[in-house]
Amino acid sequence: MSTPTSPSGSAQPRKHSGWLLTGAGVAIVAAIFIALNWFFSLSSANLDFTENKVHTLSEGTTNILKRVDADVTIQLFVSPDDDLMPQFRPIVNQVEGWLQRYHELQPEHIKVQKFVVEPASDEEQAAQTVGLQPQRNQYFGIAITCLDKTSLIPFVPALMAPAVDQDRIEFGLSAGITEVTAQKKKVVGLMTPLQLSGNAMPFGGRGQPAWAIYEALKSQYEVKMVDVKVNKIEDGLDVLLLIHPAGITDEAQWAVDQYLLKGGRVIAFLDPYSIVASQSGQPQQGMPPGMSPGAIPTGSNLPKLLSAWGYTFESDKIVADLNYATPMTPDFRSPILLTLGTDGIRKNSEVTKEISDLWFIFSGAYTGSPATGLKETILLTTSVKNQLVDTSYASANPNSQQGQGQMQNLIRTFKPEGKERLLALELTGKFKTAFPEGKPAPPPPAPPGGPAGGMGGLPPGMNFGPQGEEGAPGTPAPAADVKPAEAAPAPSPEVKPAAAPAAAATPAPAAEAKPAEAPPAAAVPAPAETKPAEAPAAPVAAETKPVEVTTPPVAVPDPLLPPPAAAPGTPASAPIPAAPAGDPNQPPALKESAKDGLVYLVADSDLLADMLTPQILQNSNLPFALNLVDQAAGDKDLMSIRSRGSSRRPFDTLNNIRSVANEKIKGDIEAMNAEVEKINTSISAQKTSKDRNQALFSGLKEMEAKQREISKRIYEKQKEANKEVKSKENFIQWMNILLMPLLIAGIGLVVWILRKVKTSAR
Amino acid sequence: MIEITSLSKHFGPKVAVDNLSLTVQKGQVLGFLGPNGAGKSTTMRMITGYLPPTAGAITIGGVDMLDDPNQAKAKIGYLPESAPLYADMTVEGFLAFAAALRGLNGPAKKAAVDKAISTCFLEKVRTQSIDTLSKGYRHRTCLAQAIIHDPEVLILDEPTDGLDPNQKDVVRNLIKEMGKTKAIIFSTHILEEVEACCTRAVIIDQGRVVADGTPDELKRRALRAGSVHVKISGQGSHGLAADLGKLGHAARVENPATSGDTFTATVFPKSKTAISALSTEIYELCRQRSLVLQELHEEPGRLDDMFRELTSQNKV
Amino acid sequence: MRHIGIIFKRELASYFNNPLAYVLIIIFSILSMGLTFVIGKFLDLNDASLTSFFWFHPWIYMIFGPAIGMRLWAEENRMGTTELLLTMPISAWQAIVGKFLAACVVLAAALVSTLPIVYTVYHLGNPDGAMIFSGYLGSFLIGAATIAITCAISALTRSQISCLLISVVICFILVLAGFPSVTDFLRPTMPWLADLGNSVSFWWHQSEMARGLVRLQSLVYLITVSVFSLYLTSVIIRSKRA
Repeated sequence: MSTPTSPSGSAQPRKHSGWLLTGAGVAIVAAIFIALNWFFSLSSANLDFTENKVHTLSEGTTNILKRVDADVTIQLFVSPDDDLMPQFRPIVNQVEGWLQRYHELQPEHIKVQKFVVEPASDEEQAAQTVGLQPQRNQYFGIAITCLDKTSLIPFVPALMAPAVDQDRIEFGLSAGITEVTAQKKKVVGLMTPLQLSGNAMPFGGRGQPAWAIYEALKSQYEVKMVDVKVNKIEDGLDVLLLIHPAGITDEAQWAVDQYLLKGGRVIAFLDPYSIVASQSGQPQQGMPPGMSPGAIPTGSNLPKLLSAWGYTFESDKIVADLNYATPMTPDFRSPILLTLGTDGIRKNSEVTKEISDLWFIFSGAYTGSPATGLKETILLTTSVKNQLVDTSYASANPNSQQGQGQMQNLIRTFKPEGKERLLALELTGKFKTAFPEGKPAPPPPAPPGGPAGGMGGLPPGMNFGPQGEEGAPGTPAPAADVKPAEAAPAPSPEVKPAAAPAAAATPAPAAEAKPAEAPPAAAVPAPAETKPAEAPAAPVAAETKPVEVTTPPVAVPDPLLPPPAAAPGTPASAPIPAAPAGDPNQPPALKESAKDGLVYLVADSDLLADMLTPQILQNSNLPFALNLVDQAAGDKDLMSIRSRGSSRRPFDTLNNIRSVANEKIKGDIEAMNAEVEKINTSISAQKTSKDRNQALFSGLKEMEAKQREISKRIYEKQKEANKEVKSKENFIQWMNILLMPLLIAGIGLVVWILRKVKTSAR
Repeated sequence: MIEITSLSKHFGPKVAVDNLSLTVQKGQVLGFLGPNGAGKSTTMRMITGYLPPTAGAITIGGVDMLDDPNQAKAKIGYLPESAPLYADMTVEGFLAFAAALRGLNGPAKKAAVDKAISTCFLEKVRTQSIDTLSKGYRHRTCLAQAIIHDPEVLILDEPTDGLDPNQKDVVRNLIKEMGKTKAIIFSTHILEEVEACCTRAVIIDQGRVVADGTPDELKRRALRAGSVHVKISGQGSHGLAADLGKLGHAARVENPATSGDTFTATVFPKSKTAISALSTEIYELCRQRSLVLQELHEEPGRLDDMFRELTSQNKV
Repeated sequence: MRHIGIIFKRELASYFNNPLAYVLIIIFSILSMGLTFVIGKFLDLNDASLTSFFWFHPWIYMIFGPAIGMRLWAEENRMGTTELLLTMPISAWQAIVGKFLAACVVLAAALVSTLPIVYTVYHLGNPDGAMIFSGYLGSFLIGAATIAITCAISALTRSQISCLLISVVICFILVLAGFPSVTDFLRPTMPWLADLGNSVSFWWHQSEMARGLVRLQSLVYLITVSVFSLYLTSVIIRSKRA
């Protein structure tokens, strides 16, 4: 029955693709896949899955490149791979990729060239011609050239450390392109009552040279003066620079506020005690007595603005720091003249990166934390061994016996704060208005010639230079010496001359009307006392513009300070003009910044006064100030590149619980701390007292024991407060770890049982 | 239905199937015989498309297995040796899975599963998990899987292996029944099985077909077929073997054996037609010697003889 | 497509009818969360992103992928069901893809089991959702690649344990190749090898994706690794029969 079959079956050709499943097929497919991967590894194409698009060229760069209308050449000079440190080698490809993307965004004008710089080659010559130097024997720099201008990135890896991220190099490139293609100078508005521009004296007196900072600014920028009483900042200012804006009005603060909300950049050098200002009131030698100028208040502040940003600046306190104290004589270091070395300078910002040596003269300090929407970058701080002291220390003559004794005493009784204070900081982000009620009413027209009525017509203090040369560096010439009648004696702790600007800013016409008799110092308590006194006027004010009569938040009146007799009467007649609800000529007031704004706050202004202390020209004071301006004047697009992507995303909820918990116990802790403090003082008092006997000693022991006990209680309180956070953390942690496993185990068990029941043999 | 042409399979230097050709028609049940390692399973695996042949062609219902394997496989139901199953499935679930892979779905799938279950007597275990089944049920489950799509061709590799006699009987009857409408190849070691339900038997050895025919044909081809078996008792049976060999129609005597008074032997006639003459001569011989001729019958030929003869030739 | 679906369904049911899938998912969940919270001190990082969470994933996949994938073919080989499966009217690649997809569902289920941490970062802070997504995408692709590799090894053997061991070694090499301490060690002497290590390393691709940078290179690499491994599986299955 077997059927022999024809052999045709085996002879017919096969159409199936059997080769694919053979060894040769594997080799071919592998080769194809490797080639595919190799091809894509050359491409830097990617999808950016971050909200801020940190891995993509930013809109800022796109905007900058859109504006480029001349040919820009980007030259990459890089040593051959063998000469390059191994960790830099992979960066070369990435940088090339990014450069390529710049070219692709503006192929018409952006040209990219790469030079491999062999030693002693034409390329090395070219690199050195554009100004690139080898770093650690390797070239890895970029030159950006447009017409005759060249901008350099001397060493690319320096930009990218520690993480190889695109934003840093992108900023470098975009900044360079902006720099070389910029056409006209940027405009810096300068708001200061001080005479920075110098002054030629009338009556043949000695001329006053311009400040070095002023000259430097003028060479780089167009400088426009802005009055401290201005009520609108003109458009077109790239940066607004406030140097000791003593006597700034609410309106001017409002103007600054609005300028900032429009995306402006503000740099403020505030000062609790400006030496320059303190000298401004001095009668000048050879000057007719009738010309005696009104004094500029020694303290300056921006109370409204600062509180809106989340900070306070005590304009009547200067900061003393034992660690940063400046040597005056071989055996005396002044703690209120601060020398900042590397310790106090945070290197986390472009502006402080190269700064190594700063000198602060009677500096104040900022306290607070950024309001929501703002990001704080701390630039300069004191050491932990600091204390806020009264400005009277500043006005004491350090060369005098009395002045030095006072200082020694301060050092002896020093109570270190225990945490660093802010000397300079940067704020970025979306600012909210400090004037939610709108524009404040202007003060009543001041009589001409008032001290706060602008310094324009008045000659400034003329003898800064000589003073600086005669005395020790930074020697103040206290106003007290000159006007003993008006200014309270220096040692008196009650005198608060720094509150003067507050007085000037409030509608206290009495103070302005009597400039000679009522110097700012005397007018201090006026604003604080205004409300109860001016019964008829206050309600009106309260109804129309409550903001106006509120005391500046900073000037917390010292409860110990007895109100001067003159105070109640002075403001009574103040006619508070009802501000128009809406000025038809004015654009609507901004409530919140549309674009990111930038504010630099510095706690001293004398650090800029080179005529006062020529040393300033040698240290980093001036570069630091110019860095701030340069940085602030930078392109908005550039700023957007700089700040993007770096925002951290903290665990707000957890932090909130923490701070709420700490807030809860804060009162208790403070009370207990005060108690400890009290015991401490009495202990030290008894320790120093000469007649020690046994009874006293045992009392001491008792007190120390009590002190220890309180400290323990504080510790326990804190532990308890942290308990809530800890328990929440524990809960989160174990929920995360165990919730799903238990759930899955449950499901698995149910499935298993059901299946067992259904499928078992029966 | 099944057409195998010059099929060869080499595993490295080893030749498992050597130029094997075979055709099975519809209605045929082909018993596939051969010693272990003869190439039965390999051949079946090639027919079912599991192993690719080294050379040769397989056509199932007119479809070339190598050109269009899925079309060809669709026509086959296959019960692999040792009846592998997914132990973690239920009988029903497994059959539904097989039916789905066979392209059935919806009510057709359900009907097919039900039919296969009843055909293979699996109702009792239908919802049971396969790992709880006895060997017989497993085998039948796998068989059910093979017939679930009512294939034209059934390839069954040792379908009765490891079953108890009752189960074997059930499976044999099933095969017999299905053989009426399908082309079936099944392999086995058990020769009675072939006799019981095959319309055709093929014996392969070392990858080659050594015998092919109906079971009867094969039996007749056995060497002993046509010989006369005698059993003689009585005094003086000594030397009987020589005497038997001297008979006129006897060619030779094999297997002479004496136990007590009883003598047995197989006497081969000189030609197939001389059987009755030889029988008469033997009868006469016994009568002359007053011996009792207890048995005398013609040997019909046995399949296992045939099997042994064919498959042991090339050994040693 | 229909056949892939049938195989996929059977395989998936087989995963979840066994304790194996549940145990693996539970282990994955506890490991990834435990490492992140206990070793990684997640809550102290004060960073509402999942980069530290994904940091551990390649290490977990090194074992988890093989553990999921080891049974895919080794079990079929052991039970002999390969013969059953491949004599069905389907192609080998359909069975391979169906099984692979089922394993990927187990992987996805394991990733779903880590969702509490996503809720946690949203509860505690204001994370970048897209970045979390790309982290999960990278994690999934890497997990899938380890499964595909295991799938190929699994086809070679009938022992799940030897499949597991071999696959873990391969995945370990592929994870470690781009680990900074390894590339830093290689770079001074063999920079090309360090670069190669980076581009073949699961670790590097995962860390890039976890910070929101999904390179086309990464996608192409991870997908080709999976596709090639599956292709290799079909070659192995075929060659075992030849």
